[in-house]
Amino acid sequence: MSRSLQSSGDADVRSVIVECDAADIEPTDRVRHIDQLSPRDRREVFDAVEGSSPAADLQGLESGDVIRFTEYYRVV
Amino acid sequence: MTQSYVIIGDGVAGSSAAETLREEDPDADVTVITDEGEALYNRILIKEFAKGKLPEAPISIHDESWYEERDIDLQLNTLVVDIDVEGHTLETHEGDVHEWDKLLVATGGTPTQLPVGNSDADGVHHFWTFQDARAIKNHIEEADNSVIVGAGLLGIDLAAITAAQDVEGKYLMRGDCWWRYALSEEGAEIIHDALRERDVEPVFQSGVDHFETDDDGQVTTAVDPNGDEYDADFVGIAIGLNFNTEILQDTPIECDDGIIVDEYMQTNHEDVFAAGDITEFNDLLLGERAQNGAWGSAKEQGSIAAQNMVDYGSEPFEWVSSYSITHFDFPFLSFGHPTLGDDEAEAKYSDTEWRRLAFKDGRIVGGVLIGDLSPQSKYKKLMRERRVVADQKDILMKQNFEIDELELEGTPAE
Repeated sequence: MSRSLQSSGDADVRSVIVECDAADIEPTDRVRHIDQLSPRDRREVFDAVEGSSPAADLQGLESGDVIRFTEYYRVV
Repeated sequence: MTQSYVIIGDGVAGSSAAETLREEDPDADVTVITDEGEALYNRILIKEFAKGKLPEAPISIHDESWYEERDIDLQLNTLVVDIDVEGHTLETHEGDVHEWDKLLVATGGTPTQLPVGNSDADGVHHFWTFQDARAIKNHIEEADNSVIVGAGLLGIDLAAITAAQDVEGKYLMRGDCWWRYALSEEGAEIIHDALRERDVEPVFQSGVDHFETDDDGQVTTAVDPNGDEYDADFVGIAIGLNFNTEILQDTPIECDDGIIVDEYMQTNHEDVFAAGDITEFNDLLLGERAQNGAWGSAKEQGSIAAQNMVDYGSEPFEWVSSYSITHFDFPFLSFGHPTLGDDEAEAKYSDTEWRRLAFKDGRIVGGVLIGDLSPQSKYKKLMRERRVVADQKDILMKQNFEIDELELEGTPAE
């Protein structure tokens, strides 16, 4: 089940994925559907959303990007 | 000699091909022709726009400057009306003639019309392009009640749009469950419950016999084959796609439902290629011809086609596609070809967790995961390696199965 993800305890990971409100998405934001990610990034997002840590090592996404999965998530 | 490549279609397959061609052949002339009025947009996310969740701007992926920067000649609002395969030319609706050394057809499909009375009434929508999404959004925001037709992956997008816009809906299905070719009733019930929670009521053993309209030609009612009537001032139809092969009808290019290509995306003519959901490709993992409309598959096909247009035989298309439904608060993933195969296995683990695998000749060829997507990588790995595992369903269906538990013979396929 999806849930809010707030912080990472992993110091060596580049990104954290946090749930965001669709109303906060700006016209200038880059938004991608989960199926548009590379297989590797998709696994990272699945693990971050469904697993115990929101940390993710993403290659095709940047800070500020938004991902549509079971909710909207932002890469920070 | 400078090569000239022409691509018909600027969806993700065409756009991906253009980008790859520029990388693989920096000096080539690359032209992209599309009958749409806008450059590549995010077709997967137009449903989020129609729901009212996303603004319009993030749906765009490329603006025209993206093509200019790559010296790609993009021609919007341009319809190709004739292709001379032997002469290596094509003609547009404006009478312009383009010469090409290699041609890529990536023209996709058009929604199938429901062959019933008044299916062209005002208020009846199909859902495929960004323009469709704009029309749906404008209308659904004013609607009181809706009817959705088409119990598949596109139909559920329309049902979700209805739900997100707080419009009560009836979802008319011909069988006993949603996506009956891939899900059992037990698996589909998870989706049915999620729809009901959002005021969209599935109606089984139904469909549409005809629509009724008011004096202005606006749809008012859907009447199903049982004679039951459903009020609807908004109707969404998604019963499939017709693939846009008409332009090839008078050419030697072999077509069936789509354009037939080999694993290198080449048609039966050495200088004509195709990519995207229009192709019937030689699926090396399935062992037969297949079609696939998923975004990732189309993008990969475009890139593979381009590589082989430059250097035929350099890279085959070998891909396990994924398709996620993201309308609910639980994950849903289908992969490969879940509607095909000669054998299957399924298991339900809770009210929101269910799994099904499809096998052909003992190998996994597709599946559906609801609720827990964690085993997907393992199933896809077994599929890519073409492992014979159907005799070990009890292990495959264990909630926390590991590949190490399987008895695997031989070496994995490359």
